[in-house]
Parts: sequence; structure tokens; C-alpha cells
Amino acid sequence: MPKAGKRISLLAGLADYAPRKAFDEMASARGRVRPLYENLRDCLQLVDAPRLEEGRASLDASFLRRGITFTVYNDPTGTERIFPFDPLPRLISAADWARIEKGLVQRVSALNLFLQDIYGPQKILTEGVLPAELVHSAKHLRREVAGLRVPHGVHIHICGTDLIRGDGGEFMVLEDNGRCPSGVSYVLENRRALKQAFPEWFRGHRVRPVDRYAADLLETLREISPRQEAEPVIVLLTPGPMNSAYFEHSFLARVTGIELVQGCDLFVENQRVFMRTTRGPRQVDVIYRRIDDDFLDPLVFRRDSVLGVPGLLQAVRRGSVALANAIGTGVADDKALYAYVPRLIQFYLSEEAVLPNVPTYLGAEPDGLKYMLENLKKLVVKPTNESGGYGLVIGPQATRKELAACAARIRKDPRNFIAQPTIALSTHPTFAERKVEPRHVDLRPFVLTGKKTRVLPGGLTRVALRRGSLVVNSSQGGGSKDTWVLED
Amino acid sequence: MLSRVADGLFWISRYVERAENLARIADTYLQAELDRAGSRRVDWQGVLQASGAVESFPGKNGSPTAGEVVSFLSFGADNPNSIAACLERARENARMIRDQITTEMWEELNRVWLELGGTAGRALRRRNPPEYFREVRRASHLFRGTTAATLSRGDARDFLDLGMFLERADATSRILEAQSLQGEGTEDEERWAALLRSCSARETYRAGHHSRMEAAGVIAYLMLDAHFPRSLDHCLIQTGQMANRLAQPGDQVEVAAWVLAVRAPLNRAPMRVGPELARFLDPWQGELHGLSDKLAERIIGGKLTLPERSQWHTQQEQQQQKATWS
Amino acid sequence: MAHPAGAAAAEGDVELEVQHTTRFSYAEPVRNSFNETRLQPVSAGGQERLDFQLEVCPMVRAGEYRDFYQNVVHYFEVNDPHHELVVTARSRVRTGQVSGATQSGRESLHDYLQASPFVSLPVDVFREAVDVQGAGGSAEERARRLMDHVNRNFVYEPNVTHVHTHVEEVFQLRRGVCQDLAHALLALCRSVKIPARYVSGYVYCGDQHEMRGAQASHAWVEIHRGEGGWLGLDPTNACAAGELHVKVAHGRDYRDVPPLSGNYYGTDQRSLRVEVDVRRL
Repeated sequence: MPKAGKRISLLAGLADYAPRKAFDEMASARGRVRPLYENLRDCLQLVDAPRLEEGRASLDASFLRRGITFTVYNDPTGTERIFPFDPLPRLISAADWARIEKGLVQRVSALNLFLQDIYGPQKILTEGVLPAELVHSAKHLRREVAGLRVPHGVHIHICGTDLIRGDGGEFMVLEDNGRCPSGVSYVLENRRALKQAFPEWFRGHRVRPVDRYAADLLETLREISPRQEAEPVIVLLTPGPMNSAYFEHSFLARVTGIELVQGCDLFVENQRVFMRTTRGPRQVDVIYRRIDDDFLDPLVFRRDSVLGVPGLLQAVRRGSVALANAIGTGVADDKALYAYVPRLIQFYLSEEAVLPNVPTYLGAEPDGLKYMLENLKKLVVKPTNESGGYGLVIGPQATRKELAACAARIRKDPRNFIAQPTIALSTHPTFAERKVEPRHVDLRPFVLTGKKTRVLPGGLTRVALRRGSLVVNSSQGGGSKDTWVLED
Repeated sequence: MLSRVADGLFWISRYVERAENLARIADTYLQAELDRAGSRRVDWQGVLQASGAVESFPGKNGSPTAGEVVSFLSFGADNPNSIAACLERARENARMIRDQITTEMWEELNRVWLELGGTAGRALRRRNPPEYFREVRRASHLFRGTTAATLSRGDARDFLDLGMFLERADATSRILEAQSLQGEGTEDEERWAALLRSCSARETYRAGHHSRMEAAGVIAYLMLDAHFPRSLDHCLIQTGQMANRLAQPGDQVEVAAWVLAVRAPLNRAPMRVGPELARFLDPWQGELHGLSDKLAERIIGGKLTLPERSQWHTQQEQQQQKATWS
Repeated sequence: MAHPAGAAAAEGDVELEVQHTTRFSYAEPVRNSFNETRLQPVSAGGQERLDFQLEVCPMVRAGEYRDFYQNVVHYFEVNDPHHELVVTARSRVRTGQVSGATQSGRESLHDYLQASPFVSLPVDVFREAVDVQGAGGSAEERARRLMDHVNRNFVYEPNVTHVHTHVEEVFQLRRGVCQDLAHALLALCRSVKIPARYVSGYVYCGDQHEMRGAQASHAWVEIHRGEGGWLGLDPTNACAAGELHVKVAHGRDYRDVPPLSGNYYGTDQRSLRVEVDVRRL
């Protein structure tokens, strides 16, 4: 964000604000604000430079004081940074949100049914709806949990599905994140900080609250406990302070009141999980684990993992402990599977997908592979099993050398790549160097599923802070905004 | 509370207390050295002993200089219990349980480590040793104060206090032991004054009721006074109270007995500076360490041993093994 | 964990009895030991399991489940400190004509055509396989040629490799034990698109010790013949798996079916002793 002392005139900025080629959330044309944002525009016009500075100082203090930081891998300066926050909120109409919510619930239901099927009878494969190789070659298919029962048949309890808006403003699903989706702590803290910095903006709108999330998360975790008679013992399993998302782990543990533990705090005896406490061992019923499958149980998965709990899978198998999310959900957010999700929705729910996919070409399919290699310059290529934006190649921005290297990687392991046309993500007014400019944004809502499904209103709007950049991930220099879902 | 967290809190407190005591010892005897140029010299070997640093001290000729000892105690590379090492470990433990302590506590430990544990600290110690040691003591007090002001009363506070009092008892007993190894006590007021000062007891002792400085009174004060915060008995009384609060109901009687077993002998201790006192204190310290271990196992560990990750091994059988014939 | 006998023996059937004892001895007592075993012979494909017993010392109860490949897995933990862990499996099986029928697991043939943890498919292995398989023929014909090739060109030699030896090293060394030869055959078969899976079990060696792998657990390969189902091929002994083979488990490679695998807390100073006894009744 620009340094203090540079006077930014919001008023001038807005009047001048012109969207670029992509769909802009606020403005339909230069100086023309969409009805949804008119109210906000009026609020912003009342903000003079000193008021703006005051508000931003309040935001900085909020984040700094609460230690809202994260670690960026590959950053030479090393460690913790404040996650950049842009004060201009992103608005979503009630009607739009109703549709999004419906689509998300539908999608997560389908994914859960899919997982239950894949680790069970595999009807979708025997009936030929999905090519068997696609599933069997999935990097995150966990054969170890085949046949395992999970509470209420739910595998993905916490899902972060990324949405973008296309040229016409239609919401599309970019990808699902059903393993350890992160970012919700920023959603909650962003709201709190913005409310404190610019309360008058909130007074001008009816914004749906987000602070129910903690209670909803706790309720979801309670609902999957194997022991229902007593108050379940729930813990959040973290890899520890060195992990880039540690702030979120400790934040969530704190706001839900559950114990934050590391692998060494737990042990398994007689296929039950216990916590080492000062009062002796305490049996654990539910583990909200923020550790990847690979590191969960050195007896079963990676043998060199010191982050996990030896014997954990045995306890899960016995049913004495529930994991959120369950083991093996990675096969559902495999990017190669993504293209088939509308087909899953059709198969399991007999419905049309409410939220469409982005058109996707699969390296695993011969036609897809051919198209990819012939059109690399126009496409965004993604490895099917990375997260955080790593391994991404954006065709139109890549050099010839980079494209050639990418093509070689694809040929070597075609199943591991998909490609999508470069969708210009929608843009949103964001503070840039001297004024307010359009920057690309996406949206990550959070869906909780226990006995019932609950969707957090809004979610994390991530913004690419560099002009023209399409990369919004926090680990690669993105920032975030508060997301407002307006009541009717 | 998680055992790992309790363990972290316990050791943060011990390391901070240890750093403070080292600073106090070093400062007192450095001052004494300056005060007495010409007359009775400070026995720096004895100071090393009081700091538990004899084993690791590189020079073994038995008569180190003030400069060598002070340097070793504060930043000695070979000294696992130097002030710098203690500050680092305290911070490290805090970082590992960051979410269990308040931001202010963390910031304090972090700041102290940055300012007094590294190059800046080294420079200050060289430039102005008394100032450096004062800063270390101040940091310790600040930490205690911050904790008192920001951390809610409860198990976390009690674990911190438990660590502090156990460490303090250890420190005071070492100081006494070192003194008693420096030779029989004559009526040397200077010496007793230095002893009291090394325990920050000079003023309170005088204010108490003792106008004359004499061995028996001073020893009794430092060992048995129920109110003086650094006396052995006071520390043990507090230890007993913390332990009682933290222990499970079924363990309280046993834990109280352990503490009593360490307190009781104090009444029979010789109130004379000399080899007798040293002979009493040495095994007594062993008892104190035993108490600390037992309390840690019962109250922190919940009777479970914390396995170390490095001890984790896999075992597998090869498909084709050569059979052995019995 | 005992399983009662099945139907009465028929003429030509072979009855075999296996005792497999694994003994870990530790320099100091270890604890919190979690282990899984795959020691129970199958009842499938011409083999009938008549009896099975698993004994663990120190005595603990074992749980049981079927893994992704439908192998029966027994799991147990020994939490208290112990100096030794002894696992004894006793089984009795009847083997007759080996038919094509086999256990149906959840796996597709895909798993048996891909690389797996111990078996990669590098280009030079592919070339070797292409050379050997020659003009072609059915999957069975080609696989048999590959099996003979492994038998002739790799030397059976213990103590050159270890439990984690990867197939690429085996191809360099050209020697190893059954586990390694089986991995080698897997790599060759898969390279030329013959679905092949790893089989662990035992082989009866007779009194004269004609067959190698005697008195130890054994490994071979099963290839998929399409319509004909699975066929066992033993590269160590250059023969099809027959009535003298006792099958316990199958998977992609050794990693999926170790007879005993576990973790524990304690010293890494330990020794392992394994005794296998296969008798014909």
C-alpha cells in the first residue's frame, strides 16, 4: 500500500476510474458505477485524505497487533509478513449470493458422494461415467482408506471452492480445495479490522455477518464426533509454528476454543487417540487436521514424517476418532477430475451444475493433450496436483523458452497437466501506487459440512496487487479484501 | 493443559530466572572486586562454582580473573548456561508455544533476546558491565511484570511460577555453597554484605531487624526466612503451593510430602559458613533437583513420558531372509 | 484368528503347512510399537486356506481389515516396554489346480501397468523388454519369455541388496533375491504393457532344496492374460506358480505387501531373525 504522506484523493480516483477489458465489479464503464456499488460510492466520496489515512493507520495497527502474518516460501528475507489488505470492500448482491450458495452446496454434496463412492463400491467407475485410469492415477488417491467408513458419509467437512467471474460477469468455479483450505482467518480478521477502521461504511449497508463461522465450525466438528453422549474432545492438529498457515491454525483454535496440538502431543493406544496433558492422557474424538495426508501417520504414509501420529489410521479405521477433513479427499480436488465435476453432479444428484466450470483441457485425454500443445501460448497450464499457484504457466505472459520447457514437462507426464483459456478474472477497485485502479480478484467461499451444510456468507476475496497480474495467492504476493454479501 | 505447553512455560520461567541470577552474581562480585582493591580479593573460582559453570569453564588453573569469569558467564561460547544462552532458550521455548502466551510476553522475550543476547548485548557488556547486568535483571522483572499484568491467573501462571521458584531456590543454594567454600567465616561484614547483595537482600535484611551483619543471621535469613522472596524456605513454600494447585487431587498429598521432604532438612542446617555448610548444601541440591524432576514428571507430564521424535524408528522384514537354523 | 478347515482333500491336492516366525531383538527396551502384518494366505485361485493362526509375543490382541487389494492385514500395538517382538504365523493350505480366478479387489489393471514405489519404468528397461519379448505372441507367451530372461540373466544372490532396494539398482547389479527379481520382472512386463502384480508368499522346496526361496518368505509375479485371468510366474525358479506355491498377498510391489512392517519408539540398535518352515503334509 502507498506510504503515508502521499495524498490520495478518493473522489478524483472514482470519477476517473475506468475498467479495463475484464468485467469490473464496481464500474460498468468510465465513471459509471453499477447499482450495487452506488451506496458505497457515496460513502467513499465522503472520505477525504486525512480520514483515509486515519482508517489505514487503524487497519495497520489491527493487523500488526494481532500478529496476522504468514510465511512466504522462497522469500530470501525469510519469515513473517503482514498479509496485504486492501480496504475497498468487494460487494456481492443477495441474488448473486443465493445462486452461488446453491451451486456450492450442490457441488460439495456431489464431491462428497463421489468420495464415498470411490472409496466404496466405485459405481461411477463400473458404470463408465468416469475413466478408471483418471481416478487410479490420481496422486492423492489414498488406497489405505478404501472401505473405511466416515461419520455421516462426509469426507470434505471444510471446503474452499475458488470462484471467478468471466467477461460477462458470470460466476464460474476455478477449482475446489478439499484438503486443507486456508484463508478463513483472514476473512474474519479483515471484517473486524475494516469495521473498526471505517464503521461509517457499514452503517450505509446491510452486510451479512461472518462471525458465525467459529460457532458453525465448532458445531460441524461436534457433529462428526464418534462419542455423542458427552461433550466431544476436539483438537486442531498443526504442523507447528514453522508452517506458513500457523497463524490461521492458532487463530481458529482460539476462536473455537479447541486445543491446538502438534503430532507429538498425541498418541494412539488401543486404537484410540489420546492427548498428553498435565492431568494425564485425555481421549480425543475429533481432529481438525491441517496436515496433509502424507504426513499424518508414519506407519502408513510417509515413514519419515515427524508431524503426524503413529497409528492414527488404525484409530480412524476403528472409528474411535473422526478426522476433518477425512483422509483421501485429494482425489476430489485433483485438477484433472475438475473437468468432470459437472458430470459427477449429474450422476449423483441428477441435476445440472448451477455453477459452471471454466473450460478445461486435460492432458490425460488425447484430444485435450493435442489442443494444449498446439495452443500453449493462449492457455494457462496447471499441474494437477500443486496448490498455492506453484507450477503455473501463463501462456500469454511466458517467454518462448518457458513455453518450450512447459511443453516438455507436459509431454513427459501428460496426465499431470490441465490447461484453461486465460480467463480475465474480474477486476475491482484497489489502491495502487497513487490512486484507485482495477485489479484482478477471485473469491474463495468456505463451505462447512457436518450433519448439515453451512456456507460462510462471502469468503475471501483475493486480489492480485500487481497491475495486470492474475496471480492472487497469498504465498505469491497477493492480497485480500473484505467481502460483503448484502442482505436483500 | 498440554504437557508440551506446560513444559515450555516451566522452562521459559527457569531460563529467565537463571539469566537474572547469573547477572546478579556477576554484578555483585564485580562490584566487590572494585570496592576492595588491595584488601581481601574476590575468589572468582568460587563465583564460577556458584554459577554452576566450573565444569564447562575452559581454563582449569583454579584462579581465573574477573574479566574471564564475567565474560564466560555472560556470553561464553562453551557455556551452555551463559546469560545469552538462557535468553535464547527462553525465547525459543516461547516461540514454540507462542499461541499460549500473550503477545506482550512474547514481544518482551523477543526484545530482550535481540537487545541483550546478541551483538548489541555483547558490546554493552564490554562497554559497561554493570549496566548490562542491570538490564538483564530489569528484563527479567519486566517479563514477570508483563506476565502478571497480561496473563490470566490459572495453570499457565502457576507453571511459570513453579519454574521460577525452583530455579530461584537452586540459585540461592549455589550462592550459599560458593560462599561456604571460600573459607571459614570471620566477622567480616564486607563479605556478608556482598553475600546479601548477591541475593538482593541487603536492604531487606537491614530493614528487618538485623543491624549487625554476622554469619549466622545472614545464613538463617537466606535459608529460612519465610517472607524474603529469595530464601530457600520461601521458595519451597511457594513451590509447594503451586504444586498443590497444579497436581491432580489424587496426587496432592504425595506432592506435598515431596516438598516437605526437601524443606525439613533446612531447619537442621549448620548456620555457619564453612565446609560444614557446603557438605550440607551439596546433597541438598541433589534433593532439590530430584524434586524438580519428580514434579515435572507428575505435574507436567501427567505421568507420561514425552517421547523424543528422534527416537522414532521403523522396522521391516525383507522379503527374502536367510533363515537361521536353531 | 484360527480359521477352520474347509472341504475334504481331493486326489492330487497338495497340503502345505507354513510356520513363519519373525523376531526383533532390541538392545534396550522399546515401546509404543505399531505393526501391520500380511501373513495370512489367501483362499482364491486354486488355493484354499484351511487354517491360520497369528501369535504375537508380548501377547496383544490384533485387529484385522482388508486393504485396497483385498489382502487381509492384521494390526497390533505393543505399548509397554519390551526387549523382543516375536510374531509367529502358522497356516495350512490346500493347493490344487491353479485356476484363472482370483480375488477381485477395488483396483483396476491401471495400477499394474504404472510405475510404483519400487518399480519404475525407465527407457532402457523398456528396450530390454522389447528385445526379449521378440516377435510377439500372447501376453502369457511374452511374459514367460521375460521370466526366463530374468531367471537366466539375473543372479540369485542374498546380501547384495536390502529391503528398500529399488528396481533400477537391481537392473544395474543384475543380482538380488526373490523380491528383487520379482521387481525386475514387473518392470519388464509393465514396460510392454502386460499388467503385472507383485505376489508375496512361500514356496515348498522339498527335501532336496531344489527350489530357491526355501525356508524363507518368497516373492513372485502374477500377470494378467486378459480373458484368461491372472497367471503366477516365478522368475527366481523359472516356472509358473503352482501347487508348491503358497500365496499370501499381492500389490503393486513390495511396498504394498511387506510381511511385517511397523514403527516404535526407542533405540535403533536391533537385530532381526526370520525363520520360515514349509512342510508338505
